[in-house]
Amino acid sequence: MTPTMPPDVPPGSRRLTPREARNRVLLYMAVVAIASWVLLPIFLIAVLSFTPREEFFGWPKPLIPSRFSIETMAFFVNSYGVLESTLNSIWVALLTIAITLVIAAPAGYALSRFVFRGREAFRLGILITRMFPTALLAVPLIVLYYRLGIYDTLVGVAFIHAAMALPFSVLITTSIFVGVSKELEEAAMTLGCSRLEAFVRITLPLALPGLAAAAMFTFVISWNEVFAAAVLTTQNRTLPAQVLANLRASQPYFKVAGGFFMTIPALIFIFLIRRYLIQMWGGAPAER
Amino acid sequence: MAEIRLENVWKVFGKVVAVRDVTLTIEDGEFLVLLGPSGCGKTTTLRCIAGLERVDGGRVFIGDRDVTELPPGKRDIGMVFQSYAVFPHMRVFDNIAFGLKMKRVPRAEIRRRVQNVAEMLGIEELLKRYPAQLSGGQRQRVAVARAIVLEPQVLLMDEPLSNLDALIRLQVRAELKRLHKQIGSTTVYVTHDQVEALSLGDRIAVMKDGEIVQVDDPTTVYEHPADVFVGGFIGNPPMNFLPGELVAPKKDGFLVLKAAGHEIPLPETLSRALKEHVGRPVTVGIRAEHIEVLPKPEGDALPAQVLVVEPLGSHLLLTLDVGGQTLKVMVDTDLQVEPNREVGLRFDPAKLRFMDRETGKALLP
Ligand SMILES: Nc1ncnc2c1ncn2[C@@H]1O[C@H](COP(=O)(O)OP(=O)(O)O)[C@@H](O)[C@H]1O
Ligand SMILES: [Mg+2]
Repeated sequence: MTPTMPPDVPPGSRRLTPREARNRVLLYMAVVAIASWVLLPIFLIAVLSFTPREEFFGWPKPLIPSRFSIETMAFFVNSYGVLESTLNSIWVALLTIAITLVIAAPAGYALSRFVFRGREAFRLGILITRMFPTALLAVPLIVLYYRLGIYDTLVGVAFIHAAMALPFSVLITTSIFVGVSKELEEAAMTLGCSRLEAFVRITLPLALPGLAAAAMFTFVISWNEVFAAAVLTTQNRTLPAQVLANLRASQPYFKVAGGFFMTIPALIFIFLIRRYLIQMWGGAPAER
Repeated sequence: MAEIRLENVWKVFGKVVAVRDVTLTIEDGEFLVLLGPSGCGKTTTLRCIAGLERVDGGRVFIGDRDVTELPPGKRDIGMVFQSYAVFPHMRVFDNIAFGLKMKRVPRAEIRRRVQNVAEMLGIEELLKRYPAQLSGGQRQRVAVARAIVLEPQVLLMDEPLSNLDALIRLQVRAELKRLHKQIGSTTVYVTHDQVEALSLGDRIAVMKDGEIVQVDDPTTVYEHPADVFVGGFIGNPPMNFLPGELVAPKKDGFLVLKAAGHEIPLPETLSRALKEHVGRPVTVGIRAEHIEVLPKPEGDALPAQVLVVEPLGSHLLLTLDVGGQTLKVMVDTDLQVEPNREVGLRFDPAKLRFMDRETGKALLP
């Protein structure tokens, strides 16, 4: 009477039907295609930046350089202003994240929890700030920054980066807080928490993966942004602004090294918060 | 422990009046069930007691404290949410201990009290798990444990069984009743399920459109509904209602009820009580199990025709036609009936309930 169960085989060792096999092959092909689309440029640029200079201009280029050379990288890193502007970039990115989260988290919380007059208008209005190209705003911004005394400061750059990141960050944080049930907070309140305590103890930990994603998004925007950073600074340049300023006069190997160097922090940063991203998008619980 | 007092409580959401001038006293240690159809304002009433909603009018008392302006955490309540609202990022132990930690209870005592409550609810094996690793029934127990571990004066429960399978629901229902006896907190229990209400409540408060229509013990609510709505909402099948008229007698003081094309003489006490309503159109209510079905129309029995026979296992549910009116009747399974058969009906006039045809309100208490 009992229905026949499929034999207990460990996953993976079972013979695939032709159809399943075909699907799996297609899946892997897609994965490889997407991954190489992202990874190939990074790989090439990485290889080239560690290629000895005499081989750099040779043709055909060997896929793997005959000798691992840090000359080019060292030249780039030691060239005037690179190290300093890298630190500047990191500072600006961190400041941008701080400013963005301080504004976007409460805004997203309010949008997700409270019904108030003008909520929908606010939700849309916040995107309007992205309507004006930065080039259009450059001159008024420079004037404003001079008046406020934040021209050519890192804080100044962080502010404009935060302004660029905010519309999307608010959208992201809103959806994060919508995802954390209001009843959890209310339960905490019946158990003795004030609204603020309930937020800190319940909502914030549950929202952390999402907030990490918002932070990453903000980091990338700030790290890559070049126009505003170049216009609003003269001495205290961020890395992209610095590289941009020197690019025309540089040798190709200098450009390659700069390009690779600029990807490193983003890679490290994504690596660090990867766990939260997987938790949020993959649904697997975080290891503890 | 403490009594709960609502005095003229109002709660309005925009144009919707969720709670309309509710006045209600829940006695110390009582198990009160708030019963009503979905959207009638039960949850909102409960949240007003909890302090999760600010009332728009009236006052809320717990014991002799006026808690109207107090936040939920200061009201000495425990609440079980419909969704359980178990914290997903905390182990079961930390979930239950949460309130105690907020009150800065010493660690050793926290451990002892969590252990006690966990044993009381049979979840001591689960203390190390995360909520994602629990079944619905287990999560519900964690929510209850978390609420009662603080030994609150007042325990509030919002449809705690509605997300459970029918089988588990029956079991947990009995456990909740036992638990209430054990801890003695004044309990307000919200449900839209009339069977739950009848089986659990010391008293039942029936709500409709934000108002409380009747507060009584389960037997009274069932046998003497305050109006047509309560009679129709409680009981399965709901109470039968027929339009009728009370007519004055010719000689003796007795009244006669005209309904479904028949004349039913009323006994003396009922006649006296209903005297002032003579000539008025009424609605007559009678429960399905209070009608006796005879295999043949004979003597003074009302003739009726069987329309549908539904075996329910323990009983038969008959749908009958009496003078153009439809009646639901519950009979024993050994009665021999089939559709289209003529039968006779007999009932005790004392079981009849008389309502005003216009307002629907019961004429007698
Ligand atoms: N936060 C709210 N905002 C607007 N309307 C609400 C809110 N909460 C409840 N209501 C409305 O109040 C009425 C009563 O709701 P509720 O108390 O949840 O009913 P019940 O628990 O009896 O199903 C419903 O009409 C509902 O739509
Ligand atoms: Mg409800």
